[in-house]
Amino acid sequence: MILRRWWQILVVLSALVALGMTLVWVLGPGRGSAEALALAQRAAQALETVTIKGTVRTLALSPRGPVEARAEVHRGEGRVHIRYLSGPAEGMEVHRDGASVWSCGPEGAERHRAQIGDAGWSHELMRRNWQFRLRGEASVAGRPAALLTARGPGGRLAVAADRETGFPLLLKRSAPDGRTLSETVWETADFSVAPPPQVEPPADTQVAERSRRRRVPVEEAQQAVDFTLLAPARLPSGFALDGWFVRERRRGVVVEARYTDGLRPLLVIEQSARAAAAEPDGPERPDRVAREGQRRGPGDGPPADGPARQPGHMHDRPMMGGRGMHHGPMMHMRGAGGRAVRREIDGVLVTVIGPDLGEALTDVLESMEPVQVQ
Amino acid sequence: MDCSVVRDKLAEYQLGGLEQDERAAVAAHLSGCAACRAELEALSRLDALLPAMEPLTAPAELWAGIEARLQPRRNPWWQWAAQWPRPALAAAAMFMIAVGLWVGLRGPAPIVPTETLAPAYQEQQIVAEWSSPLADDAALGVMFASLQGVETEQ
Repeated sequence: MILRRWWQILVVLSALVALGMTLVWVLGPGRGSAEALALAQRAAQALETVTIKGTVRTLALSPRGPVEARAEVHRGEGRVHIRYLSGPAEGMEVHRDGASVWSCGPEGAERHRAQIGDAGWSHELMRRNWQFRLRGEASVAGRPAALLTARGPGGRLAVAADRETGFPLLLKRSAPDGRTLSETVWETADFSVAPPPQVEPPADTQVAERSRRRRVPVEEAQQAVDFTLLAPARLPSGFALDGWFVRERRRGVVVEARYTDGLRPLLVIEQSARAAAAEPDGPERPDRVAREGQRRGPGDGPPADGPARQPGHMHDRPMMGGRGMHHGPMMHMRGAGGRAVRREIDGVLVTVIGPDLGEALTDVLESMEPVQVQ
Repeated sequence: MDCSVVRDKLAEYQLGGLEQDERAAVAAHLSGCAACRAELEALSRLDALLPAMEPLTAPAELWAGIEARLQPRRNPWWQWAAQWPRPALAAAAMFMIAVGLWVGLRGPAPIVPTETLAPAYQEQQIVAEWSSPLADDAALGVMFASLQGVETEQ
């Protein structure tokens, strides 16, 4: 009898140990996490330093749905030349040189240009928020590669890093719900080529100094605008402030507060609602959106560019927010590989753009409070 | 009809349980098959012996032993619920409360946006993604090149 009791205790203890080991395996830092993190950091570095030329197959989740394309890519010494062979950008070229990026049409005419600006890269956030794991070996473009994955607040990431150079021959990003946001796989890769030549954008379309995004202290960002800056009191888990940026546009200054979880950004963009309404490229202008929202009633059929409006898509009536602030209707929008929510708060048009984190983006917008600048 | 089929039917043949055509077929086979006739005779002898045997009475403890080894019969759950109505009602109420809490705490259905972010803002998002480590140039590039209506910065 006593032996039987001891046997039962032993079985229960064994089951508990097995359960604990399973939990550690599933939830813990995982096998080879330090090595995987080092490989990911090496892969990020290789994107800037390694010279490579080849063809890639890429997939991206645009606001209008997934798009696929094949492209010739030549990169090295901080420059990237991409020529699209198929897909919606077929015949177009995208050039990146350091912090500047521009696209050219098939006839060489520039479409538009943007300034990437200096990026905040927090190794600490990347290490703290993302759980890296080694998943084994893979062969990409005929080359052996280390396969690693990462799971973090902004979703999932899979990387196949070339064993010799560390260059990521496969990059796949997924949303927290598992949907693929982007995927690029190198089909052919030649590491023995010379770096791409320097290509200057057409002289008549230089990015003017006033339109560049500048990283500034919050005090300077506050001085640049005629409204009180707002900042979220609540952020999605794992995200932290990267910095404040100012972008001077024709009709006023746009302030951008950038947050990151180490790999994915979350933007809070603020501008005067009056100036935003006057912008020519503002189909999302709050006055126009409000009219559209009223016009598209339940009996008016779906909007021209998508399915029927979902209940709760937009709060119809303005409301008074916390601390007596006047909150306009909230809009939910599809972004490039993510979501966006927007509302007017005390004359400031606030747009929150980030990964598809469900209600977390709405929560960010609902928690906006005036920034206390010294 | 071959021997194996006939022998399967011999017991019924002897007891008169076969249909007329089957009986005729078996009889025809027996008339020409000595082995099957011998089998039928053996059956007849056994049948004659049975009435002479005395019936045996099973020992009294036999059934008690069998009963002790039988598994208790499980009543279906609805019989248990009928026997114990209050605990059954309490369990049902707890189940309903748990389902209600689960549904309630899940919150409202996720909002599916139908509007598309304006190109100028999409560009800001793409540019921000581009400055992240491990940025996917080819994927970001195809979205960047596909942007329409972005104000050219001059």
